[in-house]
Amino acid sequence: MKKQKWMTWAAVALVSLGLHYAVLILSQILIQGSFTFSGFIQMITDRLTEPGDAVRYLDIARNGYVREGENAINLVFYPLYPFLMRALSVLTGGRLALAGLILSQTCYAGASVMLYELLLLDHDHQDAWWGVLMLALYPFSMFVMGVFSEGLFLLLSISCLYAIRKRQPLLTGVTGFLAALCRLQGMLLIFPAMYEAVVRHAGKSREKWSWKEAFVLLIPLGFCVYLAINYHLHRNPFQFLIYERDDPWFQTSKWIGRNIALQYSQGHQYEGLDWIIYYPQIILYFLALGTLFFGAVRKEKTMYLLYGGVYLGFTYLSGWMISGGRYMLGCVPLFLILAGIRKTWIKHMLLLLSGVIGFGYALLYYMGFSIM
Amino acid sequence: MSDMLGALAGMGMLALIIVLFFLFLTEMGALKKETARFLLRCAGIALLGGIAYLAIGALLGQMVYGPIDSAADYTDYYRSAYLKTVYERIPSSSWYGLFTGIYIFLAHGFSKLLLGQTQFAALSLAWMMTSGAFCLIGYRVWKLYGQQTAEKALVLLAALPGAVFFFLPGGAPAGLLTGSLIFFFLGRMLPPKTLPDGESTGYRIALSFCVVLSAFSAAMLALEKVA
Repeated sequence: MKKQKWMTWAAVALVSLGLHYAVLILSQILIQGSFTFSGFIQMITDRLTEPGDAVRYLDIARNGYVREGENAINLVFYPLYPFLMRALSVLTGGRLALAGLILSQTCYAGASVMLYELLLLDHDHQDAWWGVLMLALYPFSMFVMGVFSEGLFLLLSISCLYAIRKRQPLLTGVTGFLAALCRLQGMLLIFPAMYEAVVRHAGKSREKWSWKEAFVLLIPLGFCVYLAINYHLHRNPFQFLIYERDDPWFQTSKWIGRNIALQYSQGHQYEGLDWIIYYPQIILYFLALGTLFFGAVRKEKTMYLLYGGVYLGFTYLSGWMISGGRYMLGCVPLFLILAGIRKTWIKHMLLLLSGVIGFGYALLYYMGFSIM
Repeated sequence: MSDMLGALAGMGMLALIIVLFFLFLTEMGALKKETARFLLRCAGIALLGGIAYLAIGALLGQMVYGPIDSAADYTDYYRSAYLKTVYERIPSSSWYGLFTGIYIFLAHGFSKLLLGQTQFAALSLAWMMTSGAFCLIGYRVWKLYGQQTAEKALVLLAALPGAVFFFLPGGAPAGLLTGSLIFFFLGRMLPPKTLPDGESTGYRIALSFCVVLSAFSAAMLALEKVA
């Protein structure tokens, strides 16, 4: 039984990674005309270790947070991912980019396995596989392969949800704490954790409270550690908000409706980015909302719906969002709900649609388009 | 189009929050699943009514006044001096009669919660108040006269001539909610009665005429024929 379990896990990890490598290789063939190993490595370097946030993470891993200079704004990036990159670089001979790639892809493989196990709690192994494949073929999932925090965040958030389901408050607290140190959305895991605790102990079943439940408070503590870093550097625990408001992010919190309206207007304004950034973000919002309502009708676990709703709402409160597709990769409840669709032909169609569109966006990304 | 998308997005999120709240109540044992499902249906009837009035306002507004994007935003679908005054008073929360004043005060607070989105807050508060009123009325009528009678009553309420005002900022949703609260509590003293299921011809005729007159009153408002 144990050997079978390991073999299944290995299969899940290999298929998840394998799909992404297949997309990478096929994209390289389309872009460069043929497959060469050097060309493959060059594409990985150019598109998975150098664009966007990757440069920032590498700088933090190399130099840490700084008080002054143009890299002071790196403070807006959370510390766990670059810290782990730095630690892993001991094994890669100091090569941070390689450490980042290994870290991201290993975490993503682990996240796929955890997602599989989480789905097995409520579904059979076929549905669990569907969830894993939906995650792998999500249109903006190529970022799990690069020097980005997506893979790590997925591993930690899925592990936290698993720990909540397994009623392990210490593991819930630890994984949630680390998730909150990895991304701002990690803090939102306190919602499903508290919800389950309240319903179990104050709801119909009225289980006795245990002191161990207090471990879930580690989750917001992760965010407090990040605030402490802000304070240590700038004597202001919310310094990151000041940096986010300025160039190049111009991020403030605005109501969801206003942000969606703005994105539609921006899609008209910046024609080259309309179907790259803005319209997909709008479509994703409504698809995610629809999926959550579908989950409610299908009696999906309320803690998943709650986490999904809070995650969606929090993400789309961003006033100048350009990475919505990437952020929504972390909205795990969507994959949990979609895995439970009963009609097989609908699942097939969704996978086909997601996979085809996902390949398109991955190809555009590897070609150099500004998909963030 | 952008404002419409934004409004849909915002309303969708608010609706999700309400659904999650209902699920929480059922899991805590504070509400039976059957009751929660019925109440969501009551709110659904209200929302469908609101969408119908929004649609006719948008249709007439677009055809008569030009494309939607050329109007200020969706709040311009219905125009009257009263509505204009309500919108103007929300940011400063200034009093304007009993029910309108209560409404303005609540809309002011709600707009702060929605990070300064005054017009969206005003409209969604009206919809939420009306949905709440429908739930209260629906629940009491269900307990007195049965589920089918409750649903018929709510559809009739949504189709009453002038019902468009329940879905617009102002005193009407606040008054409706207040009335529904009174009916909810005092209605307990009424004797329950078993009414026959099914619809009578009289109900269908009454509903049809109400729908036409209700659309007429909405159109009057959309075409600025009402003060």
